[in-house]
Amino acid sequence: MAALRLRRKAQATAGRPQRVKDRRKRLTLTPPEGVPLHLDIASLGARFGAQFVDLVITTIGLVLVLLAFVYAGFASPDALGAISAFLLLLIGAPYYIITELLMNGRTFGKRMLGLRVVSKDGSGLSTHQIVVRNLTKEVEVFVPVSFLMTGQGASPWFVVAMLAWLVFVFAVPIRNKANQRIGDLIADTAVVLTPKPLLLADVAGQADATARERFVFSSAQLDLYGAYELQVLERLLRGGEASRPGPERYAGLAKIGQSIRAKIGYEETVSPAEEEAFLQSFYVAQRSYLEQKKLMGEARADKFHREDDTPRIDAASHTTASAPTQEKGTRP
Amino acid sequence: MSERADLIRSSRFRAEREADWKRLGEIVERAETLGLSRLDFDDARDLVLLYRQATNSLSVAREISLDSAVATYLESLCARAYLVIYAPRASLAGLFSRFFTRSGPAAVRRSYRAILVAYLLLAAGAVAAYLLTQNDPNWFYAFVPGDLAGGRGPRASAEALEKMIYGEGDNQLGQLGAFAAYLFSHNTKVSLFAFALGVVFCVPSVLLILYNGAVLGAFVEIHAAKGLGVDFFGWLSIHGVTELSAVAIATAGGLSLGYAMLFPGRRTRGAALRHAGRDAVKLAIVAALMLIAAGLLEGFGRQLVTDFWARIAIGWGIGLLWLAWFALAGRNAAPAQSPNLAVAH
Repeated sequence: MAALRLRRKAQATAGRPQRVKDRRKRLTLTPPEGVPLHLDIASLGARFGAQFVDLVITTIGLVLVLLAFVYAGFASPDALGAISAFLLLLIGAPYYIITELLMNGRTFGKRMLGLRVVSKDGSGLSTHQIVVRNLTKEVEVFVPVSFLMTGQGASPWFVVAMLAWLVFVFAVPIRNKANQRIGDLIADTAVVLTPKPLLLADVAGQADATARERFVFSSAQLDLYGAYELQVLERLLRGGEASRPGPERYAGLAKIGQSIRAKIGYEETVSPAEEEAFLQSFYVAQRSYLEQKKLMGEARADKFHREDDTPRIDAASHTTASAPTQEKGTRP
Repeated sequence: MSERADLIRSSRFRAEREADWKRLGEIVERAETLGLSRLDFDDARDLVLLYRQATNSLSVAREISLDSAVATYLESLCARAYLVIYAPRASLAGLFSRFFTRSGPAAVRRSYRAILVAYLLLAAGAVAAYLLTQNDPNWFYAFVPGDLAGGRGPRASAEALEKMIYGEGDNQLGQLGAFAAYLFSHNTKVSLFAFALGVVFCVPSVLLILYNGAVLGAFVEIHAAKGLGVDFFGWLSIHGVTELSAVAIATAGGLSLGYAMLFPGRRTRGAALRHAGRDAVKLAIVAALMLIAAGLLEGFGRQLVTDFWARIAIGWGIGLLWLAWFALAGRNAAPAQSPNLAVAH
């Protein structure tokens, strides 16, 4: 969330160095409870993957049912032709509609790849939306592809028109902010990654009280950094990229500790063994300080919070409804 | 937790609520794997309550906490719980019965104007093609594509045409095979495109149904010219009543979409299209069902039933049944929508 806000901010203030390389597309849903949720949009690769799995599953199912009919003695070719034609109809839109309806917006393929369909307006996915997005898929993709695959003797213009149509159909989700295909646009749905809740330990809880009494920071020292630096430090303490406890990690911590001490003007020397305790104490003190500031209406996004007084209000007014009040506070 | 009395505010906030969040996570996990209906009583009772608390925590955490772990976790947790709680809850049986008894025929009744227009266009195409082919038989080849004619044409002898009508031709597939070949044939394609392309301001739908009418008119003319008009009428009736009605209804769906694009009224075009889409989609489903029925009639009926009057009776009888379904089903049901739809709007 904070990262998202940062990214928006980074976009809003172009002069700043852009630090967050997170370029994933996100969807903001507002459920009836009124608290906006941000979901990761499924990539086109994942969606093709899910579609492929569904095609494999339905084809296997089709073949198995046909084999069962052959085995049961219904072997007349005419009957088989009719049955397979009927099954071919069923594994089109009806398969997708029924699975998405019964499995809460997931076909078997989507389930396997951790995707699901959501309604963009934040209310529950309705039957109508599921029917529309899958009926449209029939017109969008299945029918042109089957024409191209079976269309012997079709005029070349027809083939070209179908190919152009397919290019258009695939260009729409690439251009779209939420990777919506035409059917998604009509049904007002989007495909997102199923969120996986994972609660990491609280870094502030790891700092023990004695260390926090040993390292004390003045408010002038805590005035320098903002939320972004705090969260960089949080990632570092949590392990981040180099999570193995070892000499490299301690060397990294020592380096960070030194640069922080240099920046905030911390006089005391810290022994290498105490380095982690120092950083943890600093984290707790800094977070508590910033949270206090935030509570009083002064959210500090990063260490540049002193420099920009006027553009800050502009940037804040562009942020979403997720944080309507926090950045608009008056500063002392 | 007593030694944590010195924790900073946001850590206390988290410590106090963490157990509830974990429990919500477990309930959601169970609901996803077992299904909502198989949750035990306590879980089912607490699910929504815990979800509300978690969304509350999320909005508070965004304001007061700089612990990114909490915000990220709560966001995923709430999203997950939201997806479980606001899942589509319609049963398939309920869905089908609602469609057949209420919403399907109601949509057809509401769209009667578009359907009438589609029938009129079909008739106009047929009359025009009839007159043109009467003047110059070569028009037949302009209207009817080769694979659809199947050996029939202005130059075919009356006997050959009669054989076709009464099913003694040598090009007959098996009864079911005819159905299979039929399902993906001409009229299904026409219906599909007339529906889908209607969005482009009605133009493709109008052209397609005029063309379909023209094919019909051309066929009628070559048979009528050989004095087989009545026989052709019987041959066509058995499946054609259903089939051409399906084409007309699908076209009506396309027309209503195109109408919404042309005259959105006070809505935006997108909103008007979505609104028209609610009925249009139902028309498309009705048309698909009718096409399947027509396929069955064509596959079995046309070759099995060769008696003229029986053909007329079956064809128009089934047409009357469709009409009765559209006109009568779910008339007195109040426009009560499903809970799901009510949520959506």
